[in-house]
Amino acid sequence: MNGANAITARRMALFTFVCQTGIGIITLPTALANEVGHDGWISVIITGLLAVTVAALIAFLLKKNSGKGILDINKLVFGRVIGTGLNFLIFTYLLIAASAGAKIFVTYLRISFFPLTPPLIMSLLILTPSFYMVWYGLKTVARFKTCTLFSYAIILVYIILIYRDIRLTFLMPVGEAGIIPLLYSIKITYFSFIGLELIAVFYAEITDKDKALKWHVYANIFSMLFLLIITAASTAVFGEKFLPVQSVALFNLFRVYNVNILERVDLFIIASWFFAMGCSIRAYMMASWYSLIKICKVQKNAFIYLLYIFLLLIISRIPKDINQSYYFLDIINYSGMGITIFFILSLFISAVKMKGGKKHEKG
Amino acid sequence: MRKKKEQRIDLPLIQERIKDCPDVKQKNVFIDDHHEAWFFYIHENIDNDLIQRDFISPIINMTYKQLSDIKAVKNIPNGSIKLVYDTNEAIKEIFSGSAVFVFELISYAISCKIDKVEKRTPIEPSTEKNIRGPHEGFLEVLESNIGMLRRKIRNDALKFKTVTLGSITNQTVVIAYLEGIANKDLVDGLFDKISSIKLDGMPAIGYIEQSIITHPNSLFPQFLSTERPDKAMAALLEGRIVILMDGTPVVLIAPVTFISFFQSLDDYSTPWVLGSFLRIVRILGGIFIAVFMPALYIAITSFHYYAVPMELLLNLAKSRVEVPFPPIVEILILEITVELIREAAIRLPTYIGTAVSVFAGLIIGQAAVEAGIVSNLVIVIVAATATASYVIPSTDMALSIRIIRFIFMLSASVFGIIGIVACTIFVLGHIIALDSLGQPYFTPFSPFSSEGLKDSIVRLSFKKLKRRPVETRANKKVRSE
Repeated sequence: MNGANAITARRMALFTFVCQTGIGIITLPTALANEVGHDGWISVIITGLLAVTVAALIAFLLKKNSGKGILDINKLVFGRVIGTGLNFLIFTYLLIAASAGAKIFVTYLRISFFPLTPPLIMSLLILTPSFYMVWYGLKTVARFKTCTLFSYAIILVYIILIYRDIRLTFLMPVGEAGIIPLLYSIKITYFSFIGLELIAVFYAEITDKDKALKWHVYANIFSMLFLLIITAASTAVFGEKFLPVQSVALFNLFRVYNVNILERVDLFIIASWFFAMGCSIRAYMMASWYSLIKICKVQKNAFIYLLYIFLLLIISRIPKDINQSYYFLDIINYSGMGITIFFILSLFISAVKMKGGKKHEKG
Repeated sequence: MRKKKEQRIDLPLIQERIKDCPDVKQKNVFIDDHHEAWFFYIHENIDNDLIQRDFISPIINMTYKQLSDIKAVKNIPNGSIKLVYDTNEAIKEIFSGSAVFVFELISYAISCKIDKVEKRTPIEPSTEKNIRGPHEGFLEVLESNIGMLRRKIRNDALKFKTVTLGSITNQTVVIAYLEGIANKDLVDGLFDKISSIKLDGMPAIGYIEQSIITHPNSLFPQFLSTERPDKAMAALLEGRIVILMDGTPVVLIAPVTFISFFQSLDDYSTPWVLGSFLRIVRILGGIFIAVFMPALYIAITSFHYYAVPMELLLNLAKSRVEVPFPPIVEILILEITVELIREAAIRLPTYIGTAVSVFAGLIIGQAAVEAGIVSNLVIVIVAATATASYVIPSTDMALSIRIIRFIFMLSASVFGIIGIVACTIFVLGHIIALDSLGQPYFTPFSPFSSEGLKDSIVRLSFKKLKRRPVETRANKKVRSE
C-alpha cells in the first residue's frame, strides 16, 4: 500500500458504483426490452440481488485472506509461475475492458456529436484526462468519482421533471414475459453489474478493510437502484414497442423534456453524463495499470506508462464499426463473468485449503 | 565558550571586508585615552541620535577594565546589546544594520541594533479591498508585520519561527502559527522545507512559494498570498500557518484549498445570508462565467447552434453575418485586446490607466463591431467575462482562471461541447491531484467533508462553524474550546 493508491472502503464503494453504472446503463433498457419487453425492471431487481450476493461473497472471501489483493493471492495459491501467468491474463482482461469502454465511448460520441472526426483523435481527447489521473494513482481516480455524483443528481432530477411523460401502464401487466425469459435476461443485466470484481484487485489498498464488505454491498445495492430507476423510467416513457428501436436509450430519454429557454437540454445532460462514462473506463484503466505495476514489480515509470497508453490505444482501434464495438464489448462482458467466477474460486481455495492468511503469512 | 573567549575579534579582517563600502562608517575612539577602538555601522540604517545616546556614549565612558567585564557590558542601559565572539558574525551584524563596537583588547565585539527604517503608512492593499473590515495592510518591514499580528492576537500561543535565507542577501523569513492549534507536524515540515531553500536571495515571497510547492508546474496557486493582516489573523485562528518575509508586504498562507481563493473578509463581516450571496456570486462569476461563457459561445456557434432558442439564434446569425472570421478568431481578437488593456492599465499610473481602460474598452469595442471584425454578442460576452474574472479576490487565482479560459476556448473551437467537457474533467482531475502543504486541495468537495461544506460555496452562521477546517489538521478541532 502506498499513499497515492490508499483509499477508504467508502471511496472504493463509490468507485465500484460509478464503474458499474457509467457505461452499463446506456443500452441496458433497450437490451432488456428486446429480451423481456416491459419486465426489464424485474430482471434488474433479480440480477441486482444476485450481484449483491456475489459482491458480498467476494468481499467476505477477501476478508478471510489477510488483506491481500487477488494478484498476491493467485501467486500464493497457484505458485509463482502459474500465478504470474494468471495475473497476466487478469491484466489482459482489464486492459481490453478499458479499451472496449473507450471504443464504446468514442462510438457514442460519433453517433451523438462528431460523425466526421477521426476516432483516434476522439480517443485521445476523451482518454487524456484519464491518462493524467491514472498516473497520479488510485486515490486521485477514486476522489474524482465524487465529482460525478452531480451527473447522477442531474439524471434523478431529470426523471422527476419528466414525470408527466411516464406512463406506469407501460410497465403492466407485471411479469408478462414469464419466468424463463426473465431468468435468461439475467445474463444481459449482469453485464451492467460487471465492475464488482475490481475490489479484489485493489483490496490491499483499502485502509479500513473491516468496512469493505458493508460498503461493497451498499455499492451494489445503489447500482441496482439506479439501474432500476432508469430501466423503469425508460420503459414507462417509450413503452415496450418503441424502446427496442432506441439505439442509445438513456440519451434518447434526455430528449423527452422540453425546456423553455434552453432549446436542447439533452445536449448538456449528455455532456454531463460523459463524466460518469469516463469514470467507468478510468476504473478499468486504473485496475490494468495497477496490475501491470504489481505483476512487473516496477515503480511508476514514464516509459512503461507510455507503452501502456500506446497498447490501450492500439487495442481500442481493433473494432472498426459500432457492430464490432458491441461484439467486442460482449466478449469483455462474458470474460468479466468468467473472471468473477475465477476470483471467487481462487479466493475460496486460498481461504479454505491454505487456511487463508495464516498459512500465507507463515510462508 | 572558553575557546570563544580566548579568540580576538580580527579588526584588519573587518576593515578589509568593508573596503569599498562607503555606506559603512568607521568611528575611531580611544578607551582610557590611549587604547584605540572602533565603531562600525551603516549610517543610513541606524537611528544616529539613539545610537549616539544609548550605545556610543555609554561605551566611550567605560574603562578598559569595565569593558573586559561582561557583567558591566551587559549593564549598559540598552535592550538590544549583544556580545559577538566571531569576526564573521560581527561583519554580518554590521551589514544587518547593527552598530558594532570592536576593541582588540577584549575577546568580543559589542553589537547594538537600533534600526531607522523608512516606513510607509499601513494603507489598505489596492488589490484586496473590502467594505466592512479593517483598512490596513502589511508593510515591507518584518518587525512591523509581526507587531500587527501580535496586536491582533494578544496571546502567548502566537509563535514565530525564524530562518535566515538567501546565501547572499541573508533575509529573515518567519513562520507564524498558533501553538496548540496549528498542526505541529505541518509547522515543522514547512520549517524544514523553507530552511532547505538554496537561493542567492529572494526579491519577492513568490521565490519561497515556488521553491516549496509540490506541483511547481501547476497553473493553480497552492499557497494563498495576502497583504491583509486580518486575513492572516483569520488563517492563524483556523490553524493555518503564515509565512512572512522581510522586505515584502505579502505573506503566504498554507494549507489552503481551492475554495479559499474565492473567500473574502466581507463574507464573514456581513450576516451569513449576505456573505453566502456574495460568495455564490463570486464563484458563479469567477468560475462559470469567466471560464465557460466564451467557450460555450464558440461551441454553440461553431457546432451546436440547435442548442439555443430560435429567436436568439436569428439575432446571433444577424450579428455574425458581417463577421468574416470563425468564432474562435473573433473571440481571441477581443480577449487578447482585453488582456493587453489590462496589462497596460497595470503598468501605467492610476489616472492614465483608468482613462486607457475606458477609452480602449469603449472605442476599440465599438470600432471593432463597425469594422466587422467582431459581432455585438462577442462584445457582451467578452465584457461579461472580463468583469467576472475581476470578482476573484485572489489575483493568483484570477490569473489561473484567465489562462484556463483560453485553453477551454481553443478546445471548444475544435471539439465543441465535448472539448469543454474533456477540459473540465482534466482541470478537475488536476485540482483533485493537487495538494497544499500535503493537504488535499479540492476538499471539502473531494475528498468530501460535510463540515467543510459549511464554509465553501455558502458560509453558514458562526454557530454552525464550530469546527476548524479539516485541511488544517488542527490540534484543536473545535473553535473556542
